[in-house]
Amino acid sequence: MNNPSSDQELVKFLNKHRPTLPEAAPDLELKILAAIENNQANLVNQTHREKTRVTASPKSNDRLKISSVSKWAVSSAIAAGLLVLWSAGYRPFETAQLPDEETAKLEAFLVTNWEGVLHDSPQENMTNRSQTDWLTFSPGADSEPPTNK
Amino acid sequence: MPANVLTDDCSDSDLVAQCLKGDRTCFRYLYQRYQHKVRSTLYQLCGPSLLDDLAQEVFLRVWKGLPKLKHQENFSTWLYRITWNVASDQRQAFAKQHSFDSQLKNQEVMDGIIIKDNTSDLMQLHYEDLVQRGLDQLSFEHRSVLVLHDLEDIPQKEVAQILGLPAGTVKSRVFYARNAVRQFLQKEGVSEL
Repeated sequence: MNNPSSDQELVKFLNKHRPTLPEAAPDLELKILAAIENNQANLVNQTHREKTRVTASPKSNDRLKISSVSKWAVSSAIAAGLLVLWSAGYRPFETAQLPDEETAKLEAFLVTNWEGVLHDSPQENMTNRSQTDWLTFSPGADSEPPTNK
Repeated sequence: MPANVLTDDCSDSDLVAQCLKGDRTCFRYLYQRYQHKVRSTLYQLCGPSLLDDLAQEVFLRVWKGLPKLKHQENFSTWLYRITWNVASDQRQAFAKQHSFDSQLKNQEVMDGIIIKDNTSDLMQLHYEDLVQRGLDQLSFEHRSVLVLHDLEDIPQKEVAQILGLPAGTVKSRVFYARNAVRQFLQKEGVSEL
């Protein structure tokens, strides 16, 4: 442990012979104040920019609101339009109702047509057969097997 | 507060309060009150290179940081803390550049001595050089406590606050730093210690 008086001597010596502080530049104070001024101006600009951003952001929010409102408006307009059409009797996928007389005529036509198909004449059958025989591949008696000779 | 009231009697707290209202004149008073201490501390910690730039950096940081200062009565402690931070940053920058304690800096010191040679006592200059070299050979941590405690005359408790260290650590560092400097000076032929 050092003697406290020895410590005091040392501290006294250090203080007495501490390196002389160089003189400050004559304009140091002005430079510092100017730097502060600049800093203040930058801060003001920054604050202004932030405020502008803050005031701009509600506009974008409004835009978002408007777009969401318009989406709601469009979809509800479509729904309302469909409702109106439906209530007005518009049936896009419903078949038309014919009068009874027309229905009877149409049924009679279909029956006649259908019977015609079921009871074809032999001539017609032959014609049809000749058109479709080639599909059966059954060799007839009148036909000869093909030869290479 | 009228400008003529702002004399040396005005407390740091009052000046800080006025600064917070944007009064740059009060900041000027604070600068004038503390600039010597700030420059002196910076000089002992970092040497003459960039001294004014570092002082400017300190006061700019002080101005920017004033709104965050919670206890205005502790302004001087806070100011020393900023000064030490700036010095510490600069030491790291010096270390990166490998220029601190370089030949150039030594040459600057020697130039200063030569210029002053005609007007100053040669023995005083010799001792100044020894003290400077004695401080230089300390680590930054030990140098910091010695500069703040022994040269700037700040109580150990406050030094602990400035450096963010326990009081016991400051005490032991002061003890170690003094011993190291004493040994250096004695080795260099200073017999009065």
